[in-house]
Amino acid sequence: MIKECLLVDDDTDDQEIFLMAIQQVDPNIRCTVAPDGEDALTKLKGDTSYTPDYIFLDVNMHKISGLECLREIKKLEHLRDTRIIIFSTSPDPQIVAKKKELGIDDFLTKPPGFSLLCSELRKIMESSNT
Amino acid sequence: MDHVQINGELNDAFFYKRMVEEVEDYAIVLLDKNGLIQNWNAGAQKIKGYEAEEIIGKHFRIFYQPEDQASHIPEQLIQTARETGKALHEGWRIRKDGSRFWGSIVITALHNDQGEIVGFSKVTRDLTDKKIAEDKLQEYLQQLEMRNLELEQFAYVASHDLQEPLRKIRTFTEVIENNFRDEAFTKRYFEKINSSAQRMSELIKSILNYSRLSKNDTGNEPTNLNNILDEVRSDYELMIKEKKATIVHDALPSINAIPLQVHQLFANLIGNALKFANSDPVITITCRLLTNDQVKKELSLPRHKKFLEITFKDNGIGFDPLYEKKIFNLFQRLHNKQEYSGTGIGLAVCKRIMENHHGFIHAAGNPGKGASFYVYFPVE
Repeated sequence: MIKECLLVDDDTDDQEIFLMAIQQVDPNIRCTVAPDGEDALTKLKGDTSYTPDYIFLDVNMHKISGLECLREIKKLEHLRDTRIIIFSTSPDPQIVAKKKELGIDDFLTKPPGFSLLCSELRKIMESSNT
Repeated sequence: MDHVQINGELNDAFFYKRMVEEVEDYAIVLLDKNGLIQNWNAGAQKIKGYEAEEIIGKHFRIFYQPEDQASHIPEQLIQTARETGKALHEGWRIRKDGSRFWGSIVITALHNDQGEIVGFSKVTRDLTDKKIAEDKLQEYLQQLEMRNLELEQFAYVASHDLQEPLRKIRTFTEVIENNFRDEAFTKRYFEKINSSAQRMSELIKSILNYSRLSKNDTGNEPTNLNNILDEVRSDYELMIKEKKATIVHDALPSINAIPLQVHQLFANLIGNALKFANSDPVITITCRLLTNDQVKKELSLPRHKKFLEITFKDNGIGFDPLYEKKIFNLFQRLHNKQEYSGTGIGLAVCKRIMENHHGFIHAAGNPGKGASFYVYFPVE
């Protein structure tokens, strides 16, 4: 079964590495990239048939922050079953503490290595399958 | 303490009286049962300033500050001495001329042969110098603690942010290893490694710059803010032209400040306004004098009566009000690296500069609606 994934990250290096990693973890995942929160919301609001299984959301972004973007996503009824994963350089303790309240399913801290990223991604995919 | 040695005459009332009278470093006073002063020695005169004839017969409470008199500290001390034999106390006392000294006292109950209290001796030392030294030490200690905390946070944040380019470099090398046959690919990733390393070195440079910002740079001197603004404007001449920027400003006063640091402050704020602009930036700089009451944001600096407020307002991309405090944190970046270069240190530097001037800075903004930065310099 083909899975849909949306990456919201304004760091082009991290986008590229992420796409490479996710391809390696599961070639059946189709990944779309939104270079900022605004773009992501346009994509998600504009087409209600687009219901990604995962949204990986960077926090520290320009234009609208990851948190703001998250709040908007949470308002969208058709994304009720989408898993939201915060994908950031370091976990912000304030956000981690509000995990439930904000509707975050998982945290992925950008790791220092490609194979590490792959294994972290694999874990997230597996945990959502069970 | 010196030992008074008077050969075999210690019991002689005359010598005994003399001994007490001529001690200069301690005020030794005899009080009657009610706390009225009965005698006066050289030390008492030296420490408290009264002559014997003007003080004998008065209550010893007159040495106490009005607030201590109001809370009956002298009477309480007498009561303690009556109940337990003696009372110890340290605190500010008042001399005849109204000046203060830090007194350390011991009041001892005196008894007759029947064991009844007949009066009190009161010995006072002037420990003002010691008190001032102690207070100063305490102040240094607090400053040291604050600096230490700052340093800890600094080390934490610096190491965290330096991790980012490192993380990328490690990832890129691994990716190159996995694709080493693809020449175009490896070439591109080597370039990425290089630019990450470059970013790392930029970060290290600006960290150094930040940590070198000290209070004692060159010292405060009269600084004409108009001149500083002109200098900064000419630093940015090219960028102002390119971006078609306009700077509108009030006539700015001269203040006592560290000119190099104020230059850097203005440069960082104006530089940000130019950088975070969509098109045709308009930067408005206004200033006004405010009283302490009007400046309610920060309560930590109450001793300055007036503040000069300078506002840098722009029409740029603004920021989320959520970040109005965070924006001054070291390495806090609100914007995309690809779109807006920078290390996230500029505003932390501004904050430091304002602290060095015993002032402060705060920010207000809204996404898409521009940002305003307010700096407050204390003025005499």
